[in-house]
Amino acid sequence: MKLKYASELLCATAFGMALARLAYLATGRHGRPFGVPPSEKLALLVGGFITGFVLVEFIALLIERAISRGASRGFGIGRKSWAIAGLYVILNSMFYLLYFLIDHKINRRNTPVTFTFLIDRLILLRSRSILGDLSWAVAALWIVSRLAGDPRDPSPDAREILGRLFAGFVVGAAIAIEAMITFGY
Amino acid sequence: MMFRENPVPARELSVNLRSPRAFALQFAFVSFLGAVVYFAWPKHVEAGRLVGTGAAQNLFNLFFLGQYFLLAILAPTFAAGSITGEKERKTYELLLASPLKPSMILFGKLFSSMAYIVVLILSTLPLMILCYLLGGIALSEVVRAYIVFFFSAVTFGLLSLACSSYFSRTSSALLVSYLVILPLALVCVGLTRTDPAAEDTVTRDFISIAILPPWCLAIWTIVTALVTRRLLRPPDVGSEGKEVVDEEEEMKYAIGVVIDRDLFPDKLFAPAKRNDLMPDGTNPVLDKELRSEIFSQGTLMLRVVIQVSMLLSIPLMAVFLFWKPDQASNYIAYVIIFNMLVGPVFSAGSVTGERERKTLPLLLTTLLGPGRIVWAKLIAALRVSTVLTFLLTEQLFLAYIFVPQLQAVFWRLAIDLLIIAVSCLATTSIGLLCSALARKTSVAMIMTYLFILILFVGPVGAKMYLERTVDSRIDEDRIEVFSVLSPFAATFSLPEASSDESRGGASAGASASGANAASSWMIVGNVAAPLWGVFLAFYPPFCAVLYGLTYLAFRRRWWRAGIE
Repeated sequence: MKLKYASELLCATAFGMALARLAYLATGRHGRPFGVPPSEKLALLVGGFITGFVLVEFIALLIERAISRGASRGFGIGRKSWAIAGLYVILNSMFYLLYFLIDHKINRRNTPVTFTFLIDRLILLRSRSILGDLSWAVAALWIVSRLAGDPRDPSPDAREILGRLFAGFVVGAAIAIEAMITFGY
Repeated sequence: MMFRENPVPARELSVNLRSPRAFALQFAFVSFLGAVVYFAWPKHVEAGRLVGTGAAQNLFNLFFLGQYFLLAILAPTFAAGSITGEKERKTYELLLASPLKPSMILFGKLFSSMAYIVVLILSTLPLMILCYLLGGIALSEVVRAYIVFFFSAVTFGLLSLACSSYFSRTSSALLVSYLVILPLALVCVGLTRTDPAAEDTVTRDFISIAILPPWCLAIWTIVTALVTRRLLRPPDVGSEGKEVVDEEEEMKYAIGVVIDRDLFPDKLFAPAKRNDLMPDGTNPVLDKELRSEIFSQGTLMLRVVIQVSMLLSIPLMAVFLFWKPDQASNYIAYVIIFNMLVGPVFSAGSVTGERERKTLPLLLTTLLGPGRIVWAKLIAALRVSTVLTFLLTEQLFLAYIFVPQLQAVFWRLAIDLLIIAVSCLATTSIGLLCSALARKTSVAMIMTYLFILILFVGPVGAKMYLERTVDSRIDEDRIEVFSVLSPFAATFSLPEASSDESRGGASAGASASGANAASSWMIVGNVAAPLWGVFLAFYPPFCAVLYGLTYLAFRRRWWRAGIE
């Protein structure tokens, strides 16, 4: 792993933690008491963290692609996982933002639309649902890749390996939280 | 067999214990702990009379902390140089070629380094018994404390020995040992200390007696297996013929982070080796130091340092920047501690390294003046140390941007960064001065660490110590003045973010708490100045004085060489 990538991971971790914190605080600001079940609290924190982490990694992936142009590596499952997760977060948020603004305009709602309000709503809503949605998306990606017989990368780099680990982590975390909800935690 | 017929401990012990250093160190160790007990001893209690349980427990607790802290610092100074010392003296291969088994060599080295530590621990027994005589402490508590000391000391010694077997320089082994040992020591002391406020002594005793020993035994087994395997099949034998490690070869087998000199940010501290001629006006010593010298023994030490520091920073940033942002100063303290450990490594060997490689006379015969040489050494070491330290600050920017409470005190980010930068300058300057004064790199390193500890940790430690003692014999205000020397005091004197939001409140955390405002101002002449301001104003001229002293010490060698 190159030092640049290690620093990038640290940056992504910090950004993820920042969004996890914002998601947690947004719950309090928008009327949800802190006595929510542990599973929901965990889903919120993990979802916020994944949102931030994935955004940094996706932007880094785009930069890597832009800088290396034709000489860049092909996308393995790891890179595809980063790309799908990043695009999911961005497109989903953009759609929600657009929907929210149009709804606000058409229905002439009285709520003042501040930057903090928008960010809160975005992070809060996305954080809660991202884990469930994303886990099935990356699992589906892996299955499709196996079915299509995509060749394995013989010498995966750190970004590729971390992407695979991330996909595994997302699926694992989603299953763990679902299990917590099922058993009433 | 392990002991009676083993020549290693016999030789090491006679060398270690006959040196004046052994006596001086024991004197300093017992004096320091004696002072801890003396100044914390209840003022109004005559000898032989019992005082309340609280005072005795407090004294015992202070003594335990003081001794544990000293153990964690001293254990690597003996063990980390035991195998690298052989490599530096070129006797490593002779030792390996002897009929001694690797386990015997390891045992001999461990025994000789730990024997002295055990002597140090035992020499403080009378002081511990003094606390016991005050009453309120069970004998089992004293025994428990010594069990913790014993297991911790041997674990620290073995870990340092492992570092010593993996690195070729004592300075590298010492640094990595501290990086591994200090977090372990913090965890261990946190779990096993005698806290008077803690009612749950059963859990603490259970951890000390039932959890710590098996964990230590497991670490001993793993580390012993690793070191004996390395001694049996040493990959670094034959280093006499190739002092400089081939980086490309090293990178092929590197695990984790690798250093690529052509990439950013690697080239900030390790610019690519020069394949062309130096441009006119380049300082050749600076060029040589940065491009070839600092990493001539390979990048293993650097890679370990970067990885360990980054890994440690993740839980710390999670807690202090994102979970409890009202304690952000603790993260700054971690960055400063990292610099305290790393800074001296690159400067403390600058001059002594030349002497050890016997290139100092050669350097003195060049047309370069002593001023240019010393300046180049300072800049090279400062650059590496600063870049490595600032690698841990990117999280700070993100935290100050995204955490609302920290946004309210955004201005303190600039001051925190300045405090870190000044600390980098101070540690490098002190290291360079010690390097110019000492004869061996290991001695220069230990001198530097001691000097930095006294300056940076001493005032804060003394203040905390005085706060814990009930009737102190020392005036607290006198100690307060020395706080300006400590970057920790400087960063903790800055206003912290409010903790409203962390409790789920609705406010945006716009107000900075002024809880520590009272102790953050100093009277300089007739003017009240913030502590951090005095710190930032004090160190640059102080470092200039240190640089001047380094220049004079180096110039003295110049005169000795008869060039001027």
